[in-house]
Amino acid sequence: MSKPIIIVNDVSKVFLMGKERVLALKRVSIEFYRGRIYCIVGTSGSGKSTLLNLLAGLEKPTRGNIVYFGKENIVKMGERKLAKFRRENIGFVFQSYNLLNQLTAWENVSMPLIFKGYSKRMRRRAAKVMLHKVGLGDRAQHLPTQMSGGQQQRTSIARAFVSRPKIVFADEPTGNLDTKTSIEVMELVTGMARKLGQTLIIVTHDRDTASYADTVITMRDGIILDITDKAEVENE
Amino acid sequence: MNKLDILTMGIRNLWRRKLRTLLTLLGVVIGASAIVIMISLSIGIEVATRKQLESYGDLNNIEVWSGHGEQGEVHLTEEIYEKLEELEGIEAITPIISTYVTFMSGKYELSDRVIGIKPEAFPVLGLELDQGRLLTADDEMGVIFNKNSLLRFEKPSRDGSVGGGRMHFYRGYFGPRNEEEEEEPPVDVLTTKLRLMVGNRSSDDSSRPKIYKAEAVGILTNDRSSQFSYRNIMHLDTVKRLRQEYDRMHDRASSKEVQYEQVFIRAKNVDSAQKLCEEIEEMGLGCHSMSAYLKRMEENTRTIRMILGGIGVISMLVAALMIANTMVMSIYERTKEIGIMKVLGAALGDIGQLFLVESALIGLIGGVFGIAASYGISELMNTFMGSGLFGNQLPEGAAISVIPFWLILLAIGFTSIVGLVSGLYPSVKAMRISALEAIRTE
Repeated sequence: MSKPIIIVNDVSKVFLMGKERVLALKRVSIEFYRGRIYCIVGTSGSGKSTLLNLLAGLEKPTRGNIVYFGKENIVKMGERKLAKFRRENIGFVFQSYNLLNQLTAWENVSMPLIFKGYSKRMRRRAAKVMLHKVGLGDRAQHLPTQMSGGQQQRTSIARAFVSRPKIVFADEPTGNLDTKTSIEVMELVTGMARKLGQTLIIVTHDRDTASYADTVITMRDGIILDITDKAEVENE
Repeated sequence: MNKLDILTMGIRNLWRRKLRTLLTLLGVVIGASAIVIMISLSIGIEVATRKQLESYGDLNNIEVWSGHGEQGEVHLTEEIYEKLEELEGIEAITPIISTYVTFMSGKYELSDRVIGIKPEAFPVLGLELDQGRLLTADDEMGVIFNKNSLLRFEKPSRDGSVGGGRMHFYRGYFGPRNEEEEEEPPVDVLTTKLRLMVGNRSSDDSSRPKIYKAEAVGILTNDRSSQFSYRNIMHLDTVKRLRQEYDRMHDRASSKEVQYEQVFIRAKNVDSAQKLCEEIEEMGLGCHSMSAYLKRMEENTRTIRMILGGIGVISMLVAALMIANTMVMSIYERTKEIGIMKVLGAALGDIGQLFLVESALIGLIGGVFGIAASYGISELMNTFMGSGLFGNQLPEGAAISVIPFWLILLAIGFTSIVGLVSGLYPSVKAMRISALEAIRTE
C-alpha cells in the first residue's frame, strides 16, 4: 500500500467543562490513505466529531501529532498557516449545510475560489459546472432559502468539491435529511470523491451511511474500537 | 482574496442592511459637516479680519515716531535711525523728513509740503505711478508729484501770493474720487521746466530765497494704495538740505542737528512686523503697525475658533462611536458567516479587511456627503445671514463661512481615517472569532 495521506499519532484531547476535565479522545492513532472513503461511526460522545475537528485543523489536540502528506504537521501550524492549508487541501460538508443565506447558489459554491483569489469569471464558470454536476444546474440564481434541504446539501457538496481539494470532510451530511434524500446525497458525495480520486472522511452515527465507505472506523468513549476495511468484510 | 472582491463584498454587505448603513452614514455626514462648517466659520472670521485690516493699510508697514522712553524723550536722530536699521526682519527702511517749498512751472506756482525719502526704499512703498518713473539715487533734484497737488498749480496773483480762488486743498482726502470727474492739471510738469525755492513767496523774508532747478520725474496715481499717495516726494538728502535752509530762514533751531519726523519700515512679513514694533517700543519710540491689530484680533478669534473646532470634533467623535457600534453589532450578527468563511479557508487578513473596508467606506462616503452638505449650509449662511452673526465686526459683504480646498481634503481624509480606526477593533474581533464555535451558532 502507498504512503498514508494522513497519519494521526497518539492524539488526545481534553475539554474543560467547568472544573471537570473530559477526555474526549484517548491516545488515538490511525492512518488514512489516498482515494479511499472513510466513515467514522459512533454514538454521540464517542469522540468522532472531535476527531474530525482535529483532522480538519479546527481544533488543536491536547497532545499528539497529525501529519499530512508525510510532512505537514497541522498541530504545529499557526492559525494563518492553517487557513492557507484548509484553503488548498480541504473541503467541507456540514450537517446544517452552512450556506451563506444572502448569496445565491453559485456564489455560495464559488466561495472557496474567492479566497483563492480567482477572478469572478472563472469562479462563475467553475461554480456552474459544479452545480450542474450535483444536478442543480437550473438553481444557480436561487438563494438557499428558496431551496429544499436536499438541494441545499447538494449545493454545499458542490462547494466542497469546487476547488478540487485532496480531502473532503463530511460531518453528518445526512443528519437533517429524509431517507430518500440521504441516499441521493450519499451517492452524490461518494461518487464525486471516487471520480476525482479524493479522500473522503465522513462522520456519522448512521450505520446505513457507513455502508458507502471503504473503511469503517468505529469509535466509543474516545477510543477507536474497530477499523474494518470493506474488502475484508466482503472477503469473509 | 483579491482587493476588488473585498470591496464588492463590503459594498454588498452595507447594501444588505440599508437602513442601518444609512443611519450610520447620517451620523458621519453630520459629524463631517459639523467640522467643516465650524472650521469654515473660523476661517471666515480670520479672512474678514485680515481684509478689514488690510483696507486700513498694509500689514507689513510700520511707522515710527519720536516718543517717551524710560530715559525721557527719544527723538528720531541719525543715531537712533542707524539703530533701527540694524533690527532684524526689515525689508526696507527710510527716514521721512519734510519741508515747505514753492514749485514753479512755467507761469504756474504751487506752494506745498514735500517729503524726503531714501530712493532705495521706493520699490517697496507700494507707490503706483500714473506717469513717469520713480526716483533713483542720482535724482538729486527729481520730484514725484501727486495728482491732487498738481491741480493746485496756479498763476500767482499780482501781490505774489498763491492760492486765492480755488479750494483744492483737501480735495484728495475728502473729495469724490471718480475717474470721470478727474480734472486736467493746468500745467504739464513733466515737460515744462521746473524750479523750486524754499518756503513761500509771500513770506515777509527780507532775504530772497535761492531758486533751484528741479525736474519732475513722475506722477502718482490717484488711489489709496499707499499712505504716500498724497505726498510730493523728493530725495531724502535734498529735502534735508532744503529743510536746513528753511530753518535758517525762519531762525528755527538751526544749530540743532536734523531730526526726522518719522521713520517708515516695511517688514518682511506680518510676524516680523509685530516683533519689530515691540522692539521699537522698547527703545522708547512710538510705533504704529496694523499687524498689532491683527495680533489682537487673532487672539480674540482664537477662543471662538477653539470652541467651534471643539463642537466639530465632538460630533465627529460621536460619529466614530456610531461606526464602531454598527460594526460590532454587525459582527455579532455575522458570527456564523465569519465562521463559515474561516472553515472554508478564508485568510485572517481577508476577514479583517472585509470589515475594515465596510467601516472605511462608511467614513469615506459620509465624508463626501458631509462636504456636499457643508457647501450647501455654507452657501445658505453666506446668503441669508450675511455678516449678522458677528455683528459689526466684519466688513459688509464678507463671507462668514469660507471653505478652502485643503479643508475638503482634510475632511475626507479625516472621516476615512476615523472610519478605518473605528473599524479596527471590530475587525480584530472578527479575526479572533473561533471558526468552530462560530459555525455552531445559529
